[in-house]
Amino acid sequence: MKQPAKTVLVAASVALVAVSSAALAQDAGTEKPKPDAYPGKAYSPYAKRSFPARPLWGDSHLHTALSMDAGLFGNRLGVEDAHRFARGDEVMASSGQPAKLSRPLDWVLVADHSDGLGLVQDIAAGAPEVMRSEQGRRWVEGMRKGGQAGVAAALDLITTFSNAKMDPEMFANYSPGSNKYKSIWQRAVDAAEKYNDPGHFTALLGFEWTSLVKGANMHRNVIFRDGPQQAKRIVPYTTQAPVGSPDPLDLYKWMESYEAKTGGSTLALAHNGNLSNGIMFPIDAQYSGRKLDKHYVEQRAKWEPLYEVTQIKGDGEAHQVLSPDDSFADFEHWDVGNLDLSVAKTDDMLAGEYAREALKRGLALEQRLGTNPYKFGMVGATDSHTSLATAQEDNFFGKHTGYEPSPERMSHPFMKTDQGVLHSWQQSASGLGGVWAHENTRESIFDAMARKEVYATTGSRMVVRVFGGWEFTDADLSSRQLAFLGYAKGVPMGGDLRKREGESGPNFLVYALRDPIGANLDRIQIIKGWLDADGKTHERVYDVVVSGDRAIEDGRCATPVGNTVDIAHASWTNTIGASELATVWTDPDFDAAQSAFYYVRVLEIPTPRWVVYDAYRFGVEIPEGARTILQERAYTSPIWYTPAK
Amino acid sequence: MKRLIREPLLHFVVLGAALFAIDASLRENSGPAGDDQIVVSRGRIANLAALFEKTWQRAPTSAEVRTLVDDFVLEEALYREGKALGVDIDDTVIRRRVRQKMEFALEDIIEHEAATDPQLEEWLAEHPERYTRPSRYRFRQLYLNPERHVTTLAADAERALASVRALDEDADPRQIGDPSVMEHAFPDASVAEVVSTFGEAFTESLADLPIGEWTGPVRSTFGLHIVRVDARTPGTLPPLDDVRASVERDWSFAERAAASKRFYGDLVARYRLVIEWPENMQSQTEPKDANEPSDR
Repeated sequence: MKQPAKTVLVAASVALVAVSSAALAQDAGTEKPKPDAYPGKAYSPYAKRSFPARPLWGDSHLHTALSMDAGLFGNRLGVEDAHRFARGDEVMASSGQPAKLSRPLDWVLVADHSDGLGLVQDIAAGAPEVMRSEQGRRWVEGMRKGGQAGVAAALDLITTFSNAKMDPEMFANYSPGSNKYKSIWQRAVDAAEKYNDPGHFTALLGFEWTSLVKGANMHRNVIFRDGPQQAKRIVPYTTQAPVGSPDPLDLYKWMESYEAKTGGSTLALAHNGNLSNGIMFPIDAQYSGRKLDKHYVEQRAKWEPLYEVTQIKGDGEAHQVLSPDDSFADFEHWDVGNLDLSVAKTDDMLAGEYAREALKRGLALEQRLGTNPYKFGMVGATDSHTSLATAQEDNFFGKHTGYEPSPERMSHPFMKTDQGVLHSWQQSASGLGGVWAHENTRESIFDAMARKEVYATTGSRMVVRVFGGWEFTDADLSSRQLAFLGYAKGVPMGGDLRKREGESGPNFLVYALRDPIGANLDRIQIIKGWLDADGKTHERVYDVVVSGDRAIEDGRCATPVGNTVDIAHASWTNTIGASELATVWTDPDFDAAQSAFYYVRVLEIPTPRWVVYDAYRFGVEIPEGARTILQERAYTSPIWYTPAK
Repeated sequence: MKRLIREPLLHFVVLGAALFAIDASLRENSGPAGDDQIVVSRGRIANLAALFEKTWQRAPTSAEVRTLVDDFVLEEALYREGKALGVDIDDTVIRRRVRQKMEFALEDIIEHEAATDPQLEEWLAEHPERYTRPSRYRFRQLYLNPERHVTTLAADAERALASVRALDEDADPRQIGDPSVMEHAFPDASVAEVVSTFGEAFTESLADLPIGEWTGPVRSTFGLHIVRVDARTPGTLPPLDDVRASVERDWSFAERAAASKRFYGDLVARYRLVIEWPENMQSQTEPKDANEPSDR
């Protein structure tokens, strides 16, 4: 950050001699101003905006030592440390090395697992409540040995929990109903509240509801709009009987009762459909065998307006098996099995796991049952278990404390069973949530999430905006106030297209600006999904604007942007790509009778993965098979079109 | 009290006294009265019954109370014999539990101290950067994209500046410079907002620009900008009362951390350390300095 892009810009100038457009260049230094491109508005530079000027960056999924698995893996940093780190302070990581973000986040949600909150501190201490039970003693043993035995104990705990085999008598102390549990929750809320600083930094309140059925992941994070006054009147909902339940329908009931009891508001967002072995986005029946019905689709649509589409345990936007025509779909996948790798993945499971397919299924279910249960916006988050919200490749502290930076962290498997292997290099340094909120407060951020005016990135802080309407034209692009125009003539990400006007397809004003300290942009794509007259769903990826003078033919740019990554020196340059991209795109294949959604994917130029920085800094070899280069990306919430009835 | 916090060894005395007091009350209550005597007091029996009730959600029957007492007697006897034989030595669980109890008790003592106003004032004066309300800017910018002015960027920037200066005060200057998705006008932007769009170098430049006139070019990570700052609200350090909660939070966090560090340091310093490092610990792998990619 201290070095502005001077050298890079000079290099860019040289590289772009051939492609510099004379027609565009004549804009600069014009002697007399042209009339404003957006008619009917006098020049009034500081006219009050009714929309947010910039996205607020945050992580909606962070674990601290209070989460039982995080604690077992060695995390000793609590709720306070998590907030200090997120707001930009340097903290000492559990592995004993200092850690600091390149830039502060604007907000964070500590979402510790509600089941077993505080259990691990007692395992570490060999507390009598734990030692009384056979399985408790087993974990205490593992922790005593430490190292890989400690990791094995943690995995055993997760397996036992996910198979609902926790010793009920022991677990009662770490579940709703006990005074101990209540006080742990209230202390966590108080600790977060200390760091909530309206206007500057927001500490959202919430928790993770960790539903697992036979190791298949149905996790949801629950977020409150409210402060401690409401949050302390309840304790989090759990998944273990008798109090909790693994069924999302029961979670929705609990959320409804929270609102009734406190007068507050809450929403949920699921994550890691990729580890659900097909049960995250059902099309016929729930995991329990219960048929999907009006009740299910209405409740899911009501309580789950968002989905966490990318995080350390893999990217969940699209999968190459489902989207063979999408040349960028093969990206940071964890597609070996379920969460604990007790059941291997088969291709038929994938359709119930990835966001794009879910958005398509939602259209079909809406036709069948009257409501689209998967009409969700998208955010990225870390799901870090280190209390450190790190999503940048060159500053990545891993999934849990066992994978904080070290010369060895790339070399041993992350998880290995008779069903398959996940390598530690497969951890994805991802992601972040960009929220178009008016103010940096709990209420404003929550409201933007509820209206889905949010987007996901894999760690970059690029600015992305998209507006859908019926009367955007190419001339709009010469406006010097795109956002004013976007809101005036269209709806932002997360919205529904207004009533159709004219005969053309919908058009989209879309633009992106690279992260001020990040990589240039390769291309902007619009991904369309639709439901045909026979009730079948389809998808198509359109390249809508690309850097340089590369041609787009029939919605596709076949020329790659290039690659500047120097693996040996863990570096890259902004000598390719563009610092910003903008266009107006009209759907050429629009059929007014078919429901559809449109979302934006923005790709950066290739940059090194975190393993490359590790290899350079520690002077170690990159493991064989590890991917070394990636194109960071952003996914916006969709804009939906529904035919008039 | 401040002196007390600064004197960690005194904690140990205070803690010792506290533990001694608890121990004494337990002995009054029950427990070992002499080497060959086990006393189970009424207080201890009530305590055992309460523990039972917490687990089973009902009071124990008298038969169950007898069983609890028998069990306590056996536990006490085994505990004493075990201790005499030294089976508690080198047991990781016992060591951890003892350590945890010590740390817990110490934390309570350290946290107990409340800050005084002079201490908070001193803290505020020592850490102004944490509490200063950041500068805010009312400004406009016109952008020159280096990709579009390959060899003439500097000259084009000068021309753009001259053009905008030649305009009437209330004329629209937005067609000067290149089209960009960056906002043209910022009515009231904090430093954080400017940094998040234009980067740090650009933001730092704003601090020194004249008010109310077009000037530049100013460099950002994107290229050059012609800039007009119309108002600047410099950062101010608010009085303690306006930021008391934050100052107290940070003071007590730091105080707690420093006090425990000093205390544990002094504690360990009371011992002579003999550590037999293995040979391979002599040449540890040290990470290199963070690599800075070319535009960071």
